Amino acid sequence: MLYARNWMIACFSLVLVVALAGCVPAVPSEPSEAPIDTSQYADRYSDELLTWAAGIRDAYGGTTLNMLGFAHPTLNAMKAITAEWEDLTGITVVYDETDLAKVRDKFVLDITSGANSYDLVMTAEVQAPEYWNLGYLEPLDAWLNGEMDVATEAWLDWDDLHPGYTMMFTSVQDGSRYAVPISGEVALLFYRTDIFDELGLTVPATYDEMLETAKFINDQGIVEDGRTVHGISFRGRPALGGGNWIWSIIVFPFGGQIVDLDDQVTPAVLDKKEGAVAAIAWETEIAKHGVPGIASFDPFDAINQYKQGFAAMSIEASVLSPGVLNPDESIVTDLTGFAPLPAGPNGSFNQTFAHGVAMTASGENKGAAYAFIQWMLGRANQDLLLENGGAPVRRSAMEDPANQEKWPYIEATLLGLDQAAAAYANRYFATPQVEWVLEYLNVWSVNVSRAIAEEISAEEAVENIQSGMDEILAQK
Amino acid sequence: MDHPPSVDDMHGTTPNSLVATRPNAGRRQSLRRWLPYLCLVPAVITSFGVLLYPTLRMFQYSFLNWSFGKSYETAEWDGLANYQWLITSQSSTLFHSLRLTLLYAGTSIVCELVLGLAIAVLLNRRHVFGRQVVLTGFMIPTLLMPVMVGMMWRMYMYPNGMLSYFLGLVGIRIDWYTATWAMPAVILIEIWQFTPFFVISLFAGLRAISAEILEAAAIDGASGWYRFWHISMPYLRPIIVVTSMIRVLWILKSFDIVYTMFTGGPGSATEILGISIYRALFLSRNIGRSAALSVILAALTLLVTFAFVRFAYRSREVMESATS
Repeated sequence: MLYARNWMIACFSLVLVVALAGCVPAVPSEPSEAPIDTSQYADRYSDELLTWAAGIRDAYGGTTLNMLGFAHPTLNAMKAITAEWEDLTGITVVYDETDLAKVRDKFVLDITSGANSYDLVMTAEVQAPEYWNLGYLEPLDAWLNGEMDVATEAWLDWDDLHPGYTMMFTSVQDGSRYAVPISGEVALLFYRTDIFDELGLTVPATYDEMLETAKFINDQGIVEDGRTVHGISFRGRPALGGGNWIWSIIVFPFGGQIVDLDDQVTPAVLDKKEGAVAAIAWETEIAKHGVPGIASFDPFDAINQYKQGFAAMSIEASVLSPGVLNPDESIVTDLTGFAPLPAGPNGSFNQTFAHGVAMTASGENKGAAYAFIQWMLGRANQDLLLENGGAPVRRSAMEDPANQEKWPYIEATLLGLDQAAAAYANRYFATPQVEWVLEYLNVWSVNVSRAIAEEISAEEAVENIQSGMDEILAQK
Repeated sequence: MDHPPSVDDMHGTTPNSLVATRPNAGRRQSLRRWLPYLCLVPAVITSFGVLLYPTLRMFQYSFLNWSFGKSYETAEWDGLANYQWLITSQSSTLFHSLRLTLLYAGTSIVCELVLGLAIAVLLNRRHVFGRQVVLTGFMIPTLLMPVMVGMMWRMYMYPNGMLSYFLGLVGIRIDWYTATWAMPAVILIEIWQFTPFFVISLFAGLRAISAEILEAAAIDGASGWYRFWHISMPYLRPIIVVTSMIRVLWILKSFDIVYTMFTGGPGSATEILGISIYRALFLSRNIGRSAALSVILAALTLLVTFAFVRFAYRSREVMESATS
């Protein structure tokens, strides 16, 4: 009896499994034969764009693109307009989203395991050199030059993309381009206009002034609705599980450097030791006048402290500005001013940290993937991305007075990008374009972080950075 | 019958005289002898494939110079260079990580044991209201994913988080995110999550002690403390050893909570071995060094386990000699 019942359960389970398996399509859906009604999109896209999308639909409709991305406002903006892309082109996009610190591990493991799951990968500028040096990315030049299956349309307008972003994905060695920026960020100074006005403070023009300002505000012991307002908030935790973000930006204005400026590979921190030490010492000192625990803050901790009124200033990424201006997230929406970073003894420099979409070398749907990249970068769609919380990457968008009025941070962002362009003109790159860039970053992140936590002195940190990077290079 | 009956024969239903006369009896007996070993073969093969092979490969990788992200063909034999680097290099965090790991594990387990024992004894008292509910509630932290626990406590311990706020109300200000407090913070979380494991185990042990023995001791005039120390504790000792050993095995491999809370920082204030292994593999991209660190961690785990097992055997021998 028991035996028969077990058999019945087994048979029922088998039927259930087969039935469920039958619900899953075994092959990708065929492209729809019937043309779609594009009139609903007439007010959002030009006829040229709709005609182009129809052509893409004929060529690649029914394709599924797999994209690996990381949590980011621009990815959310992309997702918000992806349904329209899918409707217009018949190309489905499946997003596999993780966070910035894990996306590299996931991508490298996917490639090295032979799974090759992705057609597109969202990459930070710090990850891209490793990918292209290992052959994981498809060079875009042939596509951009119109030598491949999908033509490059005029409305892609590559030259309108800010060079501060595009050069992050362009090899210094051979000039090849590997990713198209979809967002980017530059370090900005966020400051409380009400507190500055009340205390008669001006926006700091130098890092020394900034340190004094942070100390002055902190010493006031300002308490608002039970909250103590500290001088500053910034991220001290290693970014990306990699470099120390602030130090890699300020080391150049303080007169330091990371690698040799000519070959961009050989560690050369000690060649300009004074500047490198001064940058660490400044970061360590200003942290003392900030929200306690800065050395453990990631970007979101840092900006949340500012948004919730616990800090009067913050050095953070421009891409986090929309959140500061969003009253659902922030209590300082109308009390925030934006400014480019101050100048150091060596000048006024910044660094861009761009995010781009790249095609994988192993992807099987390169035509559809390139079409998707173009569509996401069209000027019309750039505006859509901005409306949905994405960051501007085009000079035209940032210089548009209407946009500057709508998004008060864009003007400061553009100034920050110009600071970055000035840095690049001097070959000051915070992320050396070498395959082992993350190993370099790991060395300075650990040592700068240890200095901020006052485990070691700034001098020791700089010496450790040099010896650690030398050791890495010696193994290559 | 020209041979004495075997144990198998005695347990079977067939008379010995018949067994001796059957033509295949020898083969059958031989099959019976080897059958258990044959049955073990799949398990042995699986164990080798799942446990031993990866362990041996890890051991092999620890002698290689091999970058994460590159094919195995690019790996080069490097002898003991990885171990030498870990022990001698200024950049190595091995001894720092070892010290932190032992501090983290030791403090957590001692606190968990003491607290767990105290709570178990309290719950074992005669009249405890809602004992089952309390015990069930105690299980909840142990069941949670460490990553989730890390995220949750990360918010509580924020400079202006819930815990900091409530501590502030009673005049206590602790900056959990600083280098001074980061390690105590993660130890506190471990204690919060795993003390219930000791509570449940020790409570079960206490319930297993015969009430008659305790009552007899009480009639003989033994005090509560005497009964606990000289009667309950010897019974609990094997449970304490086993639960502590399991916890040591878990905690030496810890990663999730520390990574979620501080990723080994601030500075290197919470860089336990698990974090060092992660850093070596995913950030320094050095498979060899990462494997060498893993081998050291495995050796440490084996050493501690061996010590616990030795202690458990010795305790048992002492108990047996005392009762005989």
